[in-house]
Amino acid sequence: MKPIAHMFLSLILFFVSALGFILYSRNFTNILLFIFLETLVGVLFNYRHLSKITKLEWKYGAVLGVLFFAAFSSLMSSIQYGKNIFSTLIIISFPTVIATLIFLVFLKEKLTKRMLLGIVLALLSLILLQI
Amino acid sequence: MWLQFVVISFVFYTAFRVLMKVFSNKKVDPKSLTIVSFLIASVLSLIFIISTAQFTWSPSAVLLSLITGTIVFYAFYERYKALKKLPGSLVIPVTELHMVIAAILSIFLFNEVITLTKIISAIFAGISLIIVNREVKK
Repeated sequence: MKPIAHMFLSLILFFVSALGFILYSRNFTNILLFIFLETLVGVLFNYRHLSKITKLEWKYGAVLGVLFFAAFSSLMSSIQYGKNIFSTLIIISFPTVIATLIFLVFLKEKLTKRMLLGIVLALLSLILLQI
Repeated sequence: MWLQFVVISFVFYTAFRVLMKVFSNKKVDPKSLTIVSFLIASVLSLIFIISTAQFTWSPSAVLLSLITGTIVFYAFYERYKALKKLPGSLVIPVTELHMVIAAILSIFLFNEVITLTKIISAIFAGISLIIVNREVKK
């Protein structure tokens, strides 16, 4: 499978899971339960792979896991405390913009002009959705 | 109080997205990375459930969480696979477009209000996906 196919497959899967989250948040309130089960089920399905994980993968995965949980739970807490949906919407789109800038400026990723145009449109699309 | 959470979440989400790419470049298996990160997030959320005593649940909430969890696991797995070969500045914004697609579809599914910005957002997302697809195939 080509890398581009992985990217588009990921997009489709994220989209379906987003619908699941919307459905959950509309009908249920216990977000922590959602995060717990959401993250646990994939691990359970792949428990046989656990023995193959190297020390380096444990280290990197742990960092990502902490960041993922901290980001998601603080996002939910901000809604709970502030009741300010605008803050939530800013959080969702702007880290993507900042991360993209970091990739281009600090990691010096090279892209064609058309590719850059595509990325700018994608970012604009995300920002427009929040207005 | 909410502002602190906003800032914390903003910083963590940015760091998360950048480190996804940085770690994918190393000699690591995308599946292992997904499993470990999900396991850690799962343990942390369990600790918070116990500490805040949030034990309310219903069978339909559990079922929906499990279905969504299975899908999101493979979404991250595929994203890590893509990040291994493609630039992060491409993969992250494109895969984040799922929010736009979900928002547009929620208009039809949940009878949400159609706004001009949502329509423009959808058009931009569509054009972006077409451009990126064509450029990568070249």
